[in-house]
Amino acid sequence: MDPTQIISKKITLLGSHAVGKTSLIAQFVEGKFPESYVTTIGLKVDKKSVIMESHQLDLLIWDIAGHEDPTKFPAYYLNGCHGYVYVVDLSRPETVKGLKERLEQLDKMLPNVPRVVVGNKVDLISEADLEKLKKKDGKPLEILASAKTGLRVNEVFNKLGQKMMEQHEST
Amino acid sequence: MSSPPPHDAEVMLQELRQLLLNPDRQSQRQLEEGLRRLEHLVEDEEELAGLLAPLFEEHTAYLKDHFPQLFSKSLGAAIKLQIRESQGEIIDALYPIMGKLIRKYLRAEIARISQQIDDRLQDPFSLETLKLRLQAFFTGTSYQELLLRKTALPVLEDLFIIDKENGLSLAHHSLHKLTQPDVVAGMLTGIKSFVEHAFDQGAQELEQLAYEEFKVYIFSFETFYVAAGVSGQPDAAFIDNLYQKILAFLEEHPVRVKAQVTREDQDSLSESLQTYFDGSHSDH
Repeated sequence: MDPTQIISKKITLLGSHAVGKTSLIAQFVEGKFPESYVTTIGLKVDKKSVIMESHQLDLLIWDIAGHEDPTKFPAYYLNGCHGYVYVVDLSRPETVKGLKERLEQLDKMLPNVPRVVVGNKVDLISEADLEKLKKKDGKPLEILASAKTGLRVNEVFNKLGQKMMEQHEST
Repeated sequence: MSSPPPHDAEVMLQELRQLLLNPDRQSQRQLEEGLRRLEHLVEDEEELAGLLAPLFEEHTAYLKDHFPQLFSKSLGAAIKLQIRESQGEIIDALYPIMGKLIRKYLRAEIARISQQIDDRLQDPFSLETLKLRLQAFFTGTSYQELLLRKTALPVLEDLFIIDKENGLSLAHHSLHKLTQPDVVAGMLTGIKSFVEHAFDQGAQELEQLAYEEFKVYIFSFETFYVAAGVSGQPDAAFIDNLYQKILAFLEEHPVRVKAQVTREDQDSLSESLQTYFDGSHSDH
C-alpha cells in the first residue's frame, strides 16, 4: 500500500447512556475532558486523523445518543459504518452485564464490521475490582480506559484503525 | 346609738361623693386634655405634618423596596386587561415605532444595494460591465435594471458530493474556506437521514434545507447526493440551471462510490468540481 495514502473512515461510538462515549471522543479529538455531563441528542460528527504504519486514516467519528438495547440505535446512523467502539461504564455493573448478548446482537446488525470493546472510567474502580475484571473469562473487554485521565484513549482508536485496515487488506 | 348632727352628715356625704367620683373626674380631665391636644394638632398643620412625615417616609420606603412582591400580580392583571381592552390604541401607538424600524432597515438595505451598484459602476470597462451592456442592448432591458437584478442574484457558495450511505465527502468546492468539509458532509448526511426517517414519507428524500438567506439544495442520485449551498434568492430557473449543470458535470466526471474513500480521489474530483463551477456564479 502507498505509504502516503490517506483514507476516510466512518466510525461510530455505541453503548448505554452516560458510559462516556462523548467524553472519549472529546479526549481523543481535543485532548479535553468535559467536566459537566451533557446528554447527546441526535448526532455530532468529529474528525481526527490517526497515522498508521503505512497510511493515514481520517476518522469521521459519529457520536450518537446512547441506548441499553443495541436494536434501538437508529439504523440510519449506522449505515456504511466502517468500524465501531462499544463502550461500557466499569463503575456501573449494569452496563457490563449482558455485554456478550449485546455484542452478538450488534454482530447481526453490523456483520463483519470491526469493533473495539472498551471499559471506560477505569479510574473510578478499585484495584481489587480491576483484578477481578481482568481474571474473569468470557468478558470481551479489550481495553480498560479512562476518558477523564486520558488513559489508553488513543489506544482505543488506534486499535480500531488497525482492525479496519487489517480487514481491508484481507478482502 | 345616736345619729350624727345634720352638719356632720352633710360633710360626710360630701367626702363620700368625692371619694366615689374623684377617679371619674380625673379620667374625664385626662380625656378632655387629650381631646384638646388632638384639636390643637389637627388645627396646627405644621405640627401634624412633622409628626406624620417620618411615618409616611418609612411606609414609602417599604413600598419602594417591596413593590414587585406587593403589586406585580395586580399590576400584571391590570396591564393585561388594559391591553385587551385597548388593542386598537396600542397598535396605533406602536405603528409609528415599527414604521421607523422598517424604514431604517429599508434605508440600510437600499444603501447596501446602491453601494454594490456603485462598486460595479466604478469600473465601466470591466468584462462584467461590458457583458451587461451587451445584454441590455440585445434584450432591450435597461442596463440599470439588469444591474439591479445582478445585485440580488443568488450565489452558489458550496458544492458537495457525498456518499449517501456513510456520509463521507467524495468531493467539495467552496467559495469561502470551509474548515472541516468532511464534518459538514457527515452532519448533513445525519440530518438528511434523520429527517427522512422521522417523517417516514416512504422513498421520498430531503431536497432542501433553508435558513434565511442561505439554502442547501440536495440532489439525490443512486449511491451519492450532491448538496449545493446557495445564498441570495434563487428562483426556479436558477435551481433548474444548477441541476442541469450538475448533471452535465456528472456526465463528464462519473462518480463511482468505492469501498475505500481516498484523499487522492477526493482531491482529484474536487479539483474537477472547482474547474467546472468556479468563476461562473451567475451562470448556474
